[in-house]
Amino acid sequence: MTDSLITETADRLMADHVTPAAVRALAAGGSPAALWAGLAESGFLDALASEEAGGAGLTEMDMLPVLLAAGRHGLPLPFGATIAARAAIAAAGETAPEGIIALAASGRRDGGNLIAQVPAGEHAEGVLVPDGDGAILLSVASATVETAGDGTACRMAWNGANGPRIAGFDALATGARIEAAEMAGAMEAMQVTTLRYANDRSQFGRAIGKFQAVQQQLSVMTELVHGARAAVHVAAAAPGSLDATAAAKVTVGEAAAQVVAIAHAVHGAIGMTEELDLHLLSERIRRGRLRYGSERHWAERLGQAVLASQEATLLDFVRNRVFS
Amino acid sequence: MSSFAPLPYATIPAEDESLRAEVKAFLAEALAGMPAEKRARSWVGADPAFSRALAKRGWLGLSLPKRYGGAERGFFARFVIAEELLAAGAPVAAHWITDRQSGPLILRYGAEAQRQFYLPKICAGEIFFCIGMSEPNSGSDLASVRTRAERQPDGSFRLNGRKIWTSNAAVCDYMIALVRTSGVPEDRHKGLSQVIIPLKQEAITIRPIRDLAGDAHFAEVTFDDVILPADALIGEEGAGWEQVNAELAFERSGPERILSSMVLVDTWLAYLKSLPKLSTDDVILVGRLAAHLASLRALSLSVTASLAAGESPVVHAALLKDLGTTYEQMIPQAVAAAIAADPEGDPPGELMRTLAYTMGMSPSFSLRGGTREILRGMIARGIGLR
Repeated sequence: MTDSLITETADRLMADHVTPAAVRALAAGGSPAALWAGLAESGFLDALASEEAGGAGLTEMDMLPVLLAAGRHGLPLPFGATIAARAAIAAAGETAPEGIIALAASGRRDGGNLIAQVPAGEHAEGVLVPDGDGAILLSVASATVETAGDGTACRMAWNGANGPRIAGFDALATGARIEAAEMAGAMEAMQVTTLRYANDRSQFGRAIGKFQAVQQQLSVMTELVHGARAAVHVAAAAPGSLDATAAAKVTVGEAAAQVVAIAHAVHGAIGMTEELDLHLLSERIRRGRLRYGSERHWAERLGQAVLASQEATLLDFVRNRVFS
Repeated sequence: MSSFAPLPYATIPAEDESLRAEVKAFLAEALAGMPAEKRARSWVGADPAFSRALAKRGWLGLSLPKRYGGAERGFFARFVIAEELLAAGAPVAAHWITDRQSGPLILRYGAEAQRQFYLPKICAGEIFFCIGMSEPNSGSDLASVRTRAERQPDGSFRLNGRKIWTSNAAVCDYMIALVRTSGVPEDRHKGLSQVIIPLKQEAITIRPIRDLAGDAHFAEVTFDDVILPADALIGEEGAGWEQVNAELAFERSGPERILSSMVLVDTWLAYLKSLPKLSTDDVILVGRLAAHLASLRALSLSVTASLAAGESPVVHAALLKDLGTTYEQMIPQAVAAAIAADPEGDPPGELMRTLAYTMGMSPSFSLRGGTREILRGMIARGIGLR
């Protein structure tokens, strides 16, 4: 499939299934079953798995349009995570469980227990939990689950955790890369929504988008959206580079804070209401910033990598380690 | 979908990337012993001999066709060389504008005779161009130019007026100027044309303007009844506004809108690496600098690909420049705060002099090539608000 065909297909898929009503129903504690069934039928679930393993053999770059589309619609389910997990599980020669698979951001052994922070875990049936140099595939049914209350992540604990090992799979980095891409998509939708509002809403006898002060804010927003998109492109092109993932999570996270602030500023008070869909996007972005390590986490890791490297210049580091 | 779509992701073709090692080796030798505070000047530091040494290697006029002495390598070859020159802080100002703008402009809009005359000399590093856009009191209002080139009965032009903030006019042989060939300033974009002006003549006065670091790369250039032949006109008479805007996409898209503070960054990194213990704040800042450099570079590569495809990505170039200069300006502020966080610290003099220079000059980063507010106005037009 070509890039534009994937984009069109993904946009149609999300528009059909990930409606604002569906997103609100999930937030109210509704079942994801119907929405998930629609997404699962799309055929994207095994897109990253190799053809030998029954997948489509697409790359992360090929699949970026799907994640961006999911973000544009504020999809709260771990769709990208399930796709990445299924590919990793298939590559390890294991069988993936049916249904939603979440990626845990952390896994901690405490005596006989394995304790994990699992973004979007409340909807999942399976979880890939970091464990040593890889991940372990566990069932949510055998875990005790506490939701954090803010929608960011669940705390899950398994007693005597046992499951297939997926060697070499970095759940935190994969989760960060997917989260950054979906946030970049959500930011694009915010820009479009805000632009439309600036053209529609009149004050002092003209559209607010005609005021230079508003125009300058929307221009900055556009710049940040483009910068975020560029960052997730770089990360998708080099999924094996932890530094590229780090760069994307930092850039997107920092841009997100400004983009959300500008969107709400331009919308004025109406943007604060529940009935307007804008907050579905702000909410998606809020969760994204808190998941799989914040900007500070990834900037520190990236900074350590720069300072430990032998590269002569920062540009050399970025060229060789981030673009690769 | 976005009403103003991001450009596709682009990468450097392997044959262009392969230039890099040779450029690095050349620079390691050419810049050995040059202190960081001098390298920090880079594309405002003119050294014609250095520019000619680059020309000898075939590294000027890379995007120009072979029949005019160019390398026919396209924009990505130039991108690779530009990145390395700027990251190293090479003194590139003598040829920079010529190579980036004047050559491609003459190729695109020039008559065949103009191409044959100027382009081989550009590629050989024999002649250097400056650009005459700004005028006293015109500031960011480029359409208000008053310098006039009046047609004489014999087809020649009589030029009178004044240009200012002209980078490196003193070392240049020619200026490509935006002038009024008909109408009055109130006509704005109409009646403007671009002309090539030989600078070394009596009717032209070049007055250097010193900047706050004591350097004189800016100049004010006065034309007092300068007679230009008919073939001084480049492109179409009256199409100057459109041509200048296409030219500005070259000016706004390159790595120089990202890398102006890089010598400072690398000097600071070397200092950090020499310390026995690092603060978490410093490590985080290093990571942020690397992260933002990556996305800016990706944007710059995308704009380069668009230029290479013959497009004129004016709005994307404006967007990149504003983001890029914001990054360039953030660096000296953040590095200064980091260095001075420890009152007992003992940073080397070279680092402090480089910081002082970069900090002092950083307000200009968002002025040269179009101010922030003008660029944001262009983006607003690009997204349909104006």
